[in-house]
Amino acid sequence: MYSLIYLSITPYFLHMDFYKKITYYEKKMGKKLSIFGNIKASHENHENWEPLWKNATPKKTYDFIIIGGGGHGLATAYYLSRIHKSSNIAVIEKGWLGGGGTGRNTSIIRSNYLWDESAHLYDFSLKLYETLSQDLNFNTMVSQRGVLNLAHNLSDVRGAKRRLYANQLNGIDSEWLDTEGVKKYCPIINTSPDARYPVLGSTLQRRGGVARHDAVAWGYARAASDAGVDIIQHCEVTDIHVSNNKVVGVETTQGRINAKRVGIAVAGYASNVAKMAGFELPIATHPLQAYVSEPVKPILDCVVMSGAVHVYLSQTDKGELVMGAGVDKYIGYGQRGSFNVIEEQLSACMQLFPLFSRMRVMRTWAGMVDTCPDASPIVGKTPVDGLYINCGWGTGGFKSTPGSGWVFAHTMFNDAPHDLNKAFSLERFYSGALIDEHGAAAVAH
Amino acid sequence: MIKQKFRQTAGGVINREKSISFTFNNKRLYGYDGDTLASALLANGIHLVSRSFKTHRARGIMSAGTEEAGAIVQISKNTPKSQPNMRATEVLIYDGLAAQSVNAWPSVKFDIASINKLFSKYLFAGFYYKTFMWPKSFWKLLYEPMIRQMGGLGKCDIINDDREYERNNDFFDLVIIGAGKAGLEYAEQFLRTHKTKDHSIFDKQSTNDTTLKILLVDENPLLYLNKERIQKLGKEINVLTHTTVFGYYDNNYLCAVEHVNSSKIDQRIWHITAKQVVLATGAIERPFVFKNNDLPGIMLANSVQTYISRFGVRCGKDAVVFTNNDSAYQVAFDMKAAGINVKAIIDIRKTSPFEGRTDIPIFTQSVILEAQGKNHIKSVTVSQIKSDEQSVYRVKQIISCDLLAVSSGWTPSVHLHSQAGGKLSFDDDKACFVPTTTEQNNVSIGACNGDFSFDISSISKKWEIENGIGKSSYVDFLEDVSALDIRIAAKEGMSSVELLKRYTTVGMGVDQGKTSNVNAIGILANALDKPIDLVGTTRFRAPYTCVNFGALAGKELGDLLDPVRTTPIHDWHVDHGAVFEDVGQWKRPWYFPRTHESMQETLNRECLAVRTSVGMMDASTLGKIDIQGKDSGKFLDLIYTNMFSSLKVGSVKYGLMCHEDGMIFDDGVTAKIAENHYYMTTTTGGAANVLDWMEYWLQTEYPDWEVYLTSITEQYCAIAVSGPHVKKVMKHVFPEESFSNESFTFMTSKDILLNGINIRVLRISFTGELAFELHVPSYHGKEIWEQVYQAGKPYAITPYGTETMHILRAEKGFIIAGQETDGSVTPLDLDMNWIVSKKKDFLGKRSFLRKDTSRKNRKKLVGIITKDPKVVLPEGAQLVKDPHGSIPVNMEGHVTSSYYSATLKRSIALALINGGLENKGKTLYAPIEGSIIPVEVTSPVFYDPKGDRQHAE
Ligand SMILES: Cc1cc2nc3c(=O)[nH]c(=O)nc-3n(C[C@H](O)[C@H](O)[C@H](O)COP(=O)(O)OP(=O)(O)OC[C@H]3O[C@@H](n4cnc5c(N)ncnc54)[C@H](O)[C@@H]3O)c2cc1C
Repeated sequence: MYSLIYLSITPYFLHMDFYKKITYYEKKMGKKLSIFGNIKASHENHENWEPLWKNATPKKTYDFIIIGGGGHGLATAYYLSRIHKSSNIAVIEKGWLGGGGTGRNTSIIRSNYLWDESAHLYDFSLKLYETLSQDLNFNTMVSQRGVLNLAHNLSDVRGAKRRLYANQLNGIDSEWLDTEGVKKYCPIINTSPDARYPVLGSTLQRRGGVARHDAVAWGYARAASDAGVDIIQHCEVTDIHVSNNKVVGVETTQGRINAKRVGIAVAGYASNVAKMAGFELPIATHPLQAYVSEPVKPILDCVVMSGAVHVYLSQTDKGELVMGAGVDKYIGYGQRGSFNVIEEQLSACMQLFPLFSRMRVMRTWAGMVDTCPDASPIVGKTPVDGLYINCGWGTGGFKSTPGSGWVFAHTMFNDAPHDLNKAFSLERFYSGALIDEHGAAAVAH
Repeated sequence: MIKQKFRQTAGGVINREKSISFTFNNKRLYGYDGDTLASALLANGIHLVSRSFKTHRARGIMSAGTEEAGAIVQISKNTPKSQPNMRATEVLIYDGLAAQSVNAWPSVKFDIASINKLFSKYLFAGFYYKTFMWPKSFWKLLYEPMIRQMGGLGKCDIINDDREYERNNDFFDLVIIGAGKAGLEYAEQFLRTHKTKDHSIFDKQSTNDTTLKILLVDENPLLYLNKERIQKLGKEINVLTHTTVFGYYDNNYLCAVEHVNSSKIDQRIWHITAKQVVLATGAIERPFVFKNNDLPGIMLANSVQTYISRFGVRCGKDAVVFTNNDSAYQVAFDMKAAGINVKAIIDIRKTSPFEGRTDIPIFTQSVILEAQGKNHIKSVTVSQIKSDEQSVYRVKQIISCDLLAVSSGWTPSVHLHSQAGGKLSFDDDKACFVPTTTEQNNVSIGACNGDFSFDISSISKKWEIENGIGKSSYVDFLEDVSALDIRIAAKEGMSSVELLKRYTTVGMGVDQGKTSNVNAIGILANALDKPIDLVGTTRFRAPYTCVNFGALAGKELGDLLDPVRTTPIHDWHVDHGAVFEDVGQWKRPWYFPRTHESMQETLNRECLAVRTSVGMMDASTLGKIDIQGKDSGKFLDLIYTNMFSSLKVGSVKYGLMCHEDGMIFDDGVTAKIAENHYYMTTTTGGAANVLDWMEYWLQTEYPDWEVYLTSITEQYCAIAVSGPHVKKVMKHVFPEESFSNESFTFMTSKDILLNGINIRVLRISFTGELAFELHVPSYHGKEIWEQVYQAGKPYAITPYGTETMHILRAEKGFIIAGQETDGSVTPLDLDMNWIVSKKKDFLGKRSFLRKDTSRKNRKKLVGIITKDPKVVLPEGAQLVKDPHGSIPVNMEGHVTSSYYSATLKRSIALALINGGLENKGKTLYAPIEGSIIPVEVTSPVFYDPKGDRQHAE
């Protein structure tokens, strides 16, 4: 059917009159990116494309510096300028934009977390995702295709239902599917009762799904840059300058840069950067791997996650199956993991999807995940005045990128947390008010 | 048999005696034993194999190896052996092989979606990101499904794969990867100059006297290699052919896949650790980037030669050769010798060393501006270039041809070197990236090190012939990435190769950029006006070539995925109709239904039996840890919240364990067997964690304490016998013993010898009834179980499962760690202050003083009864004060356990709610899927609150 629609719209694109009209539409839509712009560009032989974001050279002083050009850092800068109308902001990235966890994750987004604090924060984020492409005028390919969290034993079922009831009362869409329901929703899952760990049921969040991770980084970078944020790539922060317990600037590979407020959003490197300012974090950084298969025609229309047999996968729009493996148990910064982890996961995958035996692994990679003892993030103030930390998202911080940026911008701007991130302070490791999400985050995702 | 038009009458390594019949797009064709699908198709004059990813352009066979980026096929469609996205060059033909084009409908020659070609004007880098946003709702309904439909190459058939795979692990002193010229020579030379027992080559200290283990691996089948030399080597060293090393991990750890293709095993994964690795992986030729360079009939020059020499196949009749280096000349000569009419050699360079040495016309300082043809190349447009090397002369010449052999240089296969952490730099003279330093014990030799067997020094560093904007000048054939795409990306700020790769998807296809990466980097470097070295390469990642999921999963499938643990009494349970529950790896009897009994009826019967007569349960899955050493008591005081060092020999105590944060993580009873000797039990699921936890503290914090921990979970069976009649049963089993309260007091243990079997009997109760637990050496577990069962017959002893156990303990308000606790619950939250010692320090104690942990109004354990006694709450239900509150509603807590109690003739539940028993008597509500269930908060002890029954005489 789609090919038909496709065929019927194609001639319009080819029609020259149509191209002329575009100039008119384009004026009407302002500087927005659109199909019209695309068509125009191609008729202009693509001479006039501009950089998505400007590569800035550092100024002497900024009001706000954000260390880390991943999704979280870029979103923070964007909301600082858009919501809080701040200017004089820089994002400092040691490599290329989005080269950390942001460009390496399996891009699952969902908000069915157990505790109120997490549920509210993640759902806020998911809501921002729902209009992100339009907000940023950049297609982040948010695809709300539904996320299954399978239960394989009675204790799984108990945990899943507890989470389901809590989600419903928190206004987060969540449904229970029994074994037959799972089979109906995703027919290629093996639901045989003879499986080593049979599928006893599943929660389903229909609003969950995937998004294009790189596009999230680029979209924020572009919008932030348009709003005047300086985006500085290939510039590593090597020290944080503190005077009278107040942050005054950072030392970088491109020299010293002064700042009134500094936010750290460096994920896997969080402990190291915090150390520059003289405080410690309860973070352990582990390698986490993911991989894709060769691309095939659509075969899996939703996201499937299973804690008991540790599998989580979806199919990209390009057709690859993208799967995440487990963390390597040791601490490491090498952005590479051990092969046995992938093999073990594929054995588990064969139980759920025996037909995928014929699929082939095309590319593997690894990122670093900043895991916290309670599987919840740390977003808030630090022992140093004017210095803020955003880390600990571990294996699951892609889904929180917009929400995290929003509340972190608020925290940096007001020198006080937003309601949504109050509970996620570093202080909780002193008070004991931990937010244990090991259940909701049992599988890396 | 149909004649193979392009097969020479002689030559090649194929077995001409054995003709093979196969189908391509349902058409029957013939080839010879030893042919790849690609060579057999070419022999039949077929170049057009598939349609490209985005633009559906016609794509043909462009190489003879794993670098193939054009000819993608689906094998054995609709059969268990179906395999999408195979490269025609990697498939060996066999009788009955059925191959199909991918991404083409209705046929590869006439493909409807090739209308995309027209549309392709708009399908450039970043296109998706800039479109399909408006109107918003269209994305989900139309745009995305449409994009998904267009994506993908082959199909993953729904039928299960019936091939078998296995895994092998091995160690070698020396592994040589690649049995080409360099690899073979190295192996032969090594054997000539070294004694195969001389371990000092790799390990100076070695006193080993065994023969060195050496392995030579090559991805080609033996047939394609130098058979005689390899077979000779094979007498002294190990050889694996048709085996691709696809991953190089830390500590010289290699992963390889062997294509076994036997009737039993399809592929075998090798995990190899090597002391020394020699990489002789060769080099891959690069195509030129020019207009329509992707037409079928345009091939890498060396592959044309391979098809002649290996398969006796001519790839065309009238050929043109296009090169910027010397290597293609020999190809041209071989082509000519094979009877191909080589019409011209187009050489970019000012001069050619071969001028005057051949009668093939050589066009120096010339380029191919574009190729013409629809589904196959028909002609090329040739022009001279001006001395600035940028612009061309007006004069153009069209040469008709059906084959164009191209060579724009060579890319050493540095994948494994790079995966191993080795560095690269761009060698300007050779126009390629070559290995520099290595991180591991490996060395690159031959072409993969940039040491080619021909003179490359005069290569011209030009690989793109600019002509127009470059829309149909393809860089990555598989991903349909053109030179234009790369320039757009550069304009848009994708200034590093990693960004370029992600924005354009160059190098992300099934070949992982083997032929495209260097061209892309070169074009990007030009666009950015930077030296290639500064642009760099993307990180090389395993696997070098694609590997089947099934092969990597190996034999760890089904029940071998995770070992199934069963107790020694398991068969008895099976015989008695038990339904099992998975608890970790264990299979535990869940309940023992009789015919025509519903689950609830079974549970009622089992519960009442325990409360009124006697029941028995297999508790063997409990974790059991033997603890000995002079500091054992002190150590247990550290681990448990209550005091164990003061326990008398022969006594038993229940204990709770907390993590440092003060949260409960396991519980169980521990008996003191003798001075400095304890016997600990843990929960079933927690056994390994508890042992790890204790070892962690012993090894990292208290290494000087003398404590020895031994897991004996598997060594002991545990049989729980419980109910008012239990003493009579026990007396029957142990006639010599007295079970009076005086001689066998509650919370003590005794080792009793029965027919030579030492049975550890604990008088403890998890049901609230009179009860004993018999811990029996596993070997005798079933026998003693039978004895108890027989002895209990007069009292209708009833075997029960985990569900009845859960109900009985819930009636008593006993917790289950992991059900009433979830990592956020302290002993105080469960009102178990009585078990928290004030006198000593223990793990977690400090945390009880923390602000949040010591706060009032924490979630605490309560009992819950539904107003309607028949309604059983679902476990996990959330409780609220205001049933009509607007969402998000404040939740007071959740139901941790919930059952129907036959004893109490009503439902009961346990819950953790804010403020706990302060709410006693209050009404709360459980909103469940649209309905609201009112409940009352009560004490969590529903039955025998004084606890008299377990002390009965
Ligand atoms: C394999 C894998 C799969 C995952 N799957 C999912 C998933 O499905 N769903 C999900 O929600 N989450 C997932 N995650 C987690 C998610 O990727 C991360 O939580 C998230 O991307 C973190 O974003 P960030 O912006 O905080 O950090 P990053 O994207 O890592 O960005 C941090 C940046 O800081 C830079 N930096 C570090 N130190 C310095 C310095 N000194 N100076 C300057 N710059 C510096 C780094 O170069 C990096 O670019 C996955 C992670 C991995 C590794």
